Amino acid sequence: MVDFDVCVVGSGAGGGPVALTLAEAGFSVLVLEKGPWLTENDFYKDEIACCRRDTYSRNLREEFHVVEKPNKENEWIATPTYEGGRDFWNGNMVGGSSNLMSGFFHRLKPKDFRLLSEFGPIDGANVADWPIGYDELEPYYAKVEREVGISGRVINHPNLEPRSTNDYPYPPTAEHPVAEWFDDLCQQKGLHSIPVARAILSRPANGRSGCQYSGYCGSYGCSSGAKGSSRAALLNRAIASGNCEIRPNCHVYHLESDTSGRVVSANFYDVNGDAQTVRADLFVVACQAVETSRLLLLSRGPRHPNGLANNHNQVGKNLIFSGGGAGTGTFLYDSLDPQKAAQLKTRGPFVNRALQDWYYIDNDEMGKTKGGTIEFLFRHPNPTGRAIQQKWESDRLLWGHPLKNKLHRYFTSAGYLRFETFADWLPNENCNVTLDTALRDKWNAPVARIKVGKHPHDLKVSRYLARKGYRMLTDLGADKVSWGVSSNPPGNLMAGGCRFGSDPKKSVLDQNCRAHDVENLYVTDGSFMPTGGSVPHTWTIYANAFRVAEKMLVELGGEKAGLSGRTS
Amino acid sequence: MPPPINRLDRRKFLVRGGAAVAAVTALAGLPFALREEMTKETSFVFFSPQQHRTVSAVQEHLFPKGPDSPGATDIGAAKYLEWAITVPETDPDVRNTIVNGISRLQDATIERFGTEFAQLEFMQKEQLLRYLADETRWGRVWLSMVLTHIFEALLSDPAYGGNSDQVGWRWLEHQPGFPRPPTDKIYGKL
Repeated sequence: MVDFDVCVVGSGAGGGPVALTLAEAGFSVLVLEKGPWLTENDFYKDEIACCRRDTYSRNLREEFHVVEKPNKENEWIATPTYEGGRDFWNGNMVGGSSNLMSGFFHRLKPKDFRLLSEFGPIDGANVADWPIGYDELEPYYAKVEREVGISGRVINHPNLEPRSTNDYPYPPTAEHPVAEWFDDLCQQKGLHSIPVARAILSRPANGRSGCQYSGYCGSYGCSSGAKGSSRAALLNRAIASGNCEIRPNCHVYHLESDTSGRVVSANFYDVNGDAQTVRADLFVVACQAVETSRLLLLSRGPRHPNGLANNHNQVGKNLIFSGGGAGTGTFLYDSLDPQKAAQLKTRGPFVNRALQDWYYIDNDEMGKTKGGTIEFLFRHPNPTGRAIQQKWESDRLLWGHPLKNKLHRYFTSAGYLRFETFADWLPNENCNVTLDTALRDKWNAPVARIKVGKHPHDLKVSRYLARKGYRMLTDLGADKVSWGVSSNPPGNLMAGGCRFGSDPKKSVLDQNCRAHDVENLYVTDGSFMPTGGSVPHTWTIYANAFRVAEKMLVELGGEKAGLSGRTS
Repeated sequence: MPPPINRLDRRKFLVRGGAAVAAVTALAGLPFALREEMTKETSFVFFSPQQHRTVSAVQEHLFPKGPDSPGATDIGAAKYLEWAITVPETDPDVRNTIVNGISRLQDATIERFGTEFAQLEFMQKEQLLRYLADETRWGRVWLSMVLTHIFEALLSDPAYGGNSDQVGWRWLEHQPGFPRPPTDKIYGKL
């Protein structure tokens, strides 16, 4: 006897498509989510709640990670995140971090699925081809455009990926006047200005409002429902099917397996901290890469002595992030003609421009290699975070009228355009998730230890791209551009750890994202990705989760009787 | 790339300012049951009158009123700071660092000048704070933290008690986002 047909652990971009597809097909689905259930009525443009306190993450004294990275002497130093200054929680709530994303949506390109074959091995990197090709995922990229709601405009450019539809189902979100500056410059330089698609509705649809252009998007929950979070776009509809139940504030700490190796139940602490158990036929883990690997490693069983799906010690390996750099251009209003200065001060619409002219590189300086994407956007409008940066003058605290003058000048005399680069974070032996042997969370379970080694090749590519970004901002008229590349991982762009592949000795999941050695366990968040492409991962995670959900549907024998005509 | 999240927490200060060892003081344990009263604009429940005088004088020195710009008093910085360190979700280390810093400054002022900080002349205040910021680890961490809370008071939504009449936003020509939070949906009440 089971309580539900399917139990999904985690409700973000990996969990939502599965819950929707299976619930609409008539299967009973339970979604267990560690965080609270917040809705549009709880999201305000409140920098304190959003970004300066831990409203959407865990209390780091109670739940944290240990991050291991090299210091300047190349010694590996492990630091718990309650001491380290950055954390790896990205939005613990129903809908997960998709509530807080900026929603810059790009597909991977066909060559991203076969990086090893196309570009060859790289010393010290564990590059692998995907077991599926772009063609297999394309219909699901298209499905995400409709189901999640993607607004954009397709233009032809040399690196445009093949599409089954001509254009996006929703017209582009409103564009900032600066986008035209950018287009003009690209035309002069012979570059291809790409309008960036956004997972934001440009007009009302499916019971959701269109974007209200408040100017605060990334890091914030969406008050209008326009942002295509897993919650707003998918889970609300899953619930409406009558077959899906979401239990917030439920922390799954162990998946129990029987002597045959199958998962039989999920053990979790409910909102009161009481231990509960739920039984299901199929289990889906989608807790975001780090916590997915951790849950599997914690879930030992009679046939899984090293953790669930870990009989070849692959769980947690090949963790990846998105490699990159960033820069900010200062555009002094006094240096611009008044009309341009007024344009620059416009608030609300998006710049929505990117360059992929260097997605593949083949030249004397770099050789033949994968490059990446350069995204152009305004500096985040959060004022407090920006003000705080003004309090240091070199290494000295500034205060009094000198501080106030600096602050006033910073806020009122210039606009700030940014670029951010996205390149592969090559999988390598020094980037992985294990269980920490010393530190435990408030539930007395070992916390995840995240080793974040970066391959030097990625820094080289990032630097190459960042120099291009620097040149663009300079040519757009910036008075000053500060830029850099970093070997620190962006915690909100994580993937891998349970890579999919055809060889059980080198991968955790099969090509349908089912565990090689657990017949009723699927992983549908970004953990499956052997390589991450040179774009944000979210569109690909959504698309793959829809793909896997259809495979699960086949496994379950198709739609449940009496539901003909119901499709997702 | 990660959006610019600059969470206020002790970790950042530790990274920047070195380790601040904060002993737990009796004050840090004062009852939070009085929190509702603390939200009233007029009364200070957590800070003693002397602490309030000291912290207000420090804030006004760090962020003085100008001919066309608000000072710490105008933006309600002391009231905001009190809210920030007493909301139950606050990191106890932040609370302790703030409270201990006030005590240490009070002690240092009495020792040097025989009077409390608020009574000092401008140059006396400047020299003392500059010494603490440049020559002591705790002073550097504490003043940095006080400044951060001034910025929060200046630029957070008025629902938090600072940025009175949006004076901070108006001064810096900042356009807030909408919808803005009602007072019953701010941090600590979500």
